[in-house]
Amino acid sequence: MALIGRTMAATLAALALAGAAGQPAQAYWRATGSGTGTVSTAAAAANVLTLVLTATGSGHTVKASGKAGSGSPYQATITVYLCKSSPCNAANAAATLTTTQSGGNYSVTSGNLNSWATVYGQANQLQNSGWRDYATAPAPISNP
Amino acid sequence: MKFNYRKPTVAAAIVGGVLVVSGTAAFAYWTANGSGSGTAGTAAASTPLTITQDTFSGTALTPGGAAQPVSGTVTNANTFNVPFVLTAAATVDSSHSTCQASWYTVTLSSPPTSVAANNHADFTGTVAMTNLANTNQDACKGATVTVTYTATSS
Amino acid sequence: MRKYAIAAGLAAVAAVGILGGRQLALAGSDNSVPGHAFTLSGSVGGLVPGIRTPLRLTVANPDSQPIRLTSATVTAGPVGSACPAGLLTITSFSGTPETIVAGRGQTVIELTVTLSAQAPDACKKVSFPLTYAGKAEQWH
Repeated sequence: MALIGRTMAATLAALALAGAAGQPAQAYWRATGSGTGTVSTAAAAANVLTLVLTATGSGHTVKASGKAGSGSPYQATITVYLCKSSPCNAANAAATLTTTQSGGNYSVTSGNLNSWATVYGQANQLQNSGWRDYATAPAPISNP
Repeated sequence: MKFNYRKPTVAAAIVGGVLVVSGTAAFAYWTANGSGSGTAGTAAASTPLTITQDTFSGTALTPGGAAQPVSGTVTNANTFNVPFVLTAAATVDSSHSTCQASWYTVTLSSPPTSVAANNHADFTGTVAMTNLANTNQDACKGATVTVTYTATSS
Repeated sequence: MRKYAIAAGLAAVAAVGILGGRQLALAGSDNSVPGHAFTLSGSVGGLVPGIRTPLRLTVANPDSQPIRLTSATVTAGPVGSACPAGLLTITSFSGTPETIVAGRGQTVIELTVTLSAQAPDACKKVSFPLTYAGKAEQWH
């Protein structure tokens, strides 16, 4: 036992020296810990944007209209994506319309969508804090 | 055999003999065994690491907005080095209960993997909010995100 | 007669010379005498993984004769099943440096205990039992 102890001690001493040469080879008891911090999400006014798609009945056009936020923090520009498939958003928009709200309302008409079988829509309005409010048209238009 | 004690040679022999006899008594020796017992105690439980995040000084998060910086410190009050794995996770305050914590991403930048005895190790990272194209995330407006940093044994 | 005297005298001188060596095994190699048993005692605390910690053993000699310590070894026992004795590496003393314990006196020797760097957390704040064994010989 003593001989094994001496051999192990010598080996460990050699390893400790080797370790010390490479890095601060301190050993350790394990310890854990935790802590918290907070990050705030921007405040913003309520989302009051709405969107309805209506077939105008002429020239295969579609009208996008609805309510929007009026005045600060809402910004004036309203953007409407028109898509051929659902869900409709910036990624699959086949047409983009922009207009400005007036008195809390907006309305904008598309170009000729004759070849579209179905028209889906999503509108968005940016707020000063960077929040973008979205509204999805509840029903699509078929064969505008 | 009759010894003539007065003869020097005999005297010398006798002295030598006495020397031999006393030498035997003087140089015989014993060995002894020793025994005993004791204990080897290990140090008590280590002191937990403490982690603090610096006060957030970035811009408030918005869906799809730029990732904002966070930073903090892992403090070790033990008398020995402690290695660890540092992770971070976000939770949302209860008054914004339908705002999903999964919409927030905390990323640590090359976090420290150990802290020296009686020392601290700093960390940095970013927090961002994901924009989900067809999901209403309005519930997160004004929400406070709590980031919990955890150092676990490596 | 003179030849015998001279031979006896020479033999005596020779005997004195031979017996002068302190290392002579006069009566066999293990001449341990129970009455001269000595004690080893000591403990160590605050072990943390991977750190070499000194273990100071007090060697107490109850005999009036001084002794020279020739070896001191430490055997550790386990603490439960989570903390086997193998977690401790302990050096031993094998006679160097020359260590004399005065008659009815004591001397401290220093060994080294190292707790394995892999010691699990379950072994925090435990006490491993240590058993000491030593050998010494009469010293002049």
